[in-house]
Amino acid sequence: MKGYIGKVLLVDLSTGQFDPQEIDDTVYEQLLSGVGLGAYYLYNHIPAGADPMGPENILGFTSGLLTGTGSFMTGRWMAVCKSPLTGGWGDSNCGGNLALAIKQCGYDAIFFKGISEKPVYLYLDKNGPQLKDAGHLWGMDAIESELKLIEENSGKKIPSVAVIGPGGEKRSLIAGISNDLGRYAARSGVGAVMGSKRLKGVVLAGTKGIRGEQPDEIKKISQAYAKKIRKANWPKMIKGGFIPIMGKLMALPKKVGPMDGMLSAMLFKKYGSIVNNTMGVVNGDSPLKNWSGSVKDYHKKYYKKVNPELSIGRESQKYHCSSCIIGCGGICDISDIKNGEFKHTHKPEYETVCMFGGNIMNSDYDAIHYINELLNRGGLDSISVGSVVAFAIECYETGTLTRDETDGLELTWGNVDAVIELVKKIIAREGIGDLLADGVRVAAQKIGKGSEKFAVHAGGQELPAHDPKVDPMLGVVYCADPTPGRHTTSGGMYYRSSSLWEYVSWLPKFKKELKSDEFIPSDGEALKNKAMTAYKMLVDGSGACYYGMLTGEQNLQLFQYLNKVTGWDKSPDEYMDIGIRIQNMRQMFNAKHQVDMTKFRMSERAIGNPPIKNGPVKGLTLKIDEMIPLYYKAWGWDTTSGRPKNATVEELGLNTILTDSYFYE
Amino acid sequence: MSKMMSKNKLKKHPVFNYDLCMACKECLAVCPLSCLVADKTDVDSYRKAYPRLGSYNECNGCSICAKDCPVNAITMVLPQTVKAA
Repeated sequence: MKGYIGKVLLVDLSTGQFDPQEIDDTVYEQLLSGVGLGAYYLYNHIPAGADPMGPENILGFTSGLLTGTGSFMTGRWMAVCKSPLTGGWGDSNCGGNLALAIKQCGYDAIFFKGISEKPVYLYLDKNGPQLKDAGHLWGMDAIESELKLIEENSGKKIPSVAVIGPGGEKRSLIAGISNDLGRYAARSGVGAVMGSKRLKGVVLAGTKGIRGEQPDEIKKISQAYAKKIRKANWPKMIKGGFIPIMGKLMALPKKVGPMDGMLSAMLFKKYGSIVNNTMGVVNGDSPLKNWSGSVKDYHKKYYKKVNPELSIGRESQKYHCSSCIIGCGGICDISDIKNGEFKHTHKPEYETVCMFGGNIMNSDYDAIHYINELLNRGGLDSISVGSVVAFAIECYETGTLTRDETDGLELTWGNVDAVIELVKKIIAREGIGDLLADGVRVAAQKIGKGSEKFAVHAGGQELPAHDPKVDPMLGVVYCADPTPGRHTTSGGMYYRSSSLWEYVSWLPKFKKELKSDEFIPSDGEALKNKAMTAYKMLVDGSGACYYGMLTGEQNLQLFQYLNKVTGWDKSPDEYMDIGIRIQNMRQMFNAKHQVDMTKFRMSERAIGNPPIKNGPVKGLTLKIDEMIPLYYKAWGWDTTSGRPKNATVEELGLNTILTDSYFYE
Repeated sequence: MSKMMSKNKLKKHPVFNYDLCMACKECLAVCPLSCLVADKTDVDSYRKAYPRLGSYNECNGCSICAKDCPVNAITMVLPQTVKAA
């Protein structure tokens, strides 16, 4: 077995019919599984111009090619669809245990088209698929729904479950899909698409075994990787209070060079993403005061209260996704907050802490834990909700929204009690909450009065909590990736820790170079960005984790894992071609759907127009309009529209695996 | 009950070597009877949730967990040895 099943399931929710479909080996050889398989399937089966919330849109749950094969850090699944938020390609990556469960049911992916008349959920085990009534779950929060579905469907095997909360049911464009009691595929509005189909959940209870071609060789790679991760421990005497100093030191060097990926592993093992809570504030990475402030505004008096040790202190246990050996997650005890309304929450990620911390000038970390659980239950993306809350606060502070229009809420910077009420309203789509529940772009369009300048997004997707003025490669992918406004595709720091130049023949050797060079638009920077993005597409096609990726190819050994699992004998260059193909497929999806990709250009204040007056990024304005065409050129796309050129598509052989007529150039 | 006990005496059960285990939960995912749980948090200072056998009676000794463990941290032993461990 080559790691993949070679089969997908199509569920037509309008007719209730199931259609298991064979997928040819050539598709896996050209695009892997995961995001690659998803892009292939959706490109071919969603008609051009389909309404993202209509029956023609397809929502897919895809597993990774390496998932379940004994490889480590490969338990990620992806939700894919046409995004209602951007109008183009949509995908969202998630951990938990669902990826393996999809394969254990005998499929690499499950796709849904049509719209059910009544709320339903899919149950799938070795006996096949069934659509079951979900009327009793409609309106129930995501955590309670998952527990109920497990209770109702537990036989010999406890099932893995993915669900939407009320946010998805109400088709909020910033809704996500939950699994494992609060881990989210949150971006691209995937939860809204699931809600539009009246699909409450997916319950998977298969037991099929998954194998790679060379299990002993796979084990050798895994054991070597495990040995390194086991040794990677952050010194116990260095506590969270030291992290801001580290952040300052990291911002000092004028030159940057290759990074040891094991440093990330140490930090993620201990803290997870929240290591950046305070580090990001002092090195300029964290957006503050709705992207208009700096560490001078959100100074030590504030940021010391979001010291990651405080959240670690709440951890009753670390949380690992399936096949993960780092364990960045945690289950936090929050029974002392808000009269014990909730007992636990997944440790809030850095993105959540920043968006509900510095970006709204709040330093009440307990409240952030509480909001995290509200959103996990409500089924919304914490990045997008945090962003729209910051937007609403700035509207209120500037008089663009009056107190009457905020339903009496005093939306001032840092007023976290008002923010909690606002979050509840957004989940319920009540009053002001209804205005904000579709994200900042829609809200700004409805409010008008110049509020667009407070709406920080790229193509409708709210920006994550990483300022591209610290890492310009991030800025380019915010504006030019098929899924704009996302920090998990590529970035300078990712590239520096990847070691890709040691494996890929067309990359120049990377040595120390001036940090300031990253800010100068050049073909060289565009090539690095292309390479990192292509590698990330491999990661997402394999089901691998972004934190595994950050440990570097020399440790993760993705190319070797793929060869041993599939039995192929491909070179790193050949694998990078697969990554390039996947990225082109995603971009071709946008071209087919006539998406105006020039509209993906991010908001002015994120670019640095006007520049921030203080802090590490003071005075910086990205030359983004020069960088984007160079990035397009590196991919072989039209330098103005971003549409893949005929020659590029044909050179990659994509025209040979498309069953639909294709629209490019 | 006594019949089940005697039946189980003939079947091997998984025992974990926590010096090797990475808490990846692959064993939980592949167990066809969901008889493993990951709640053993006293192994390391990180409070990682390591796996253990949750139910001796549910386990049928199929050894899929041991075969699939990427780091060979699981061995199959007779129940008496499990209790001793």
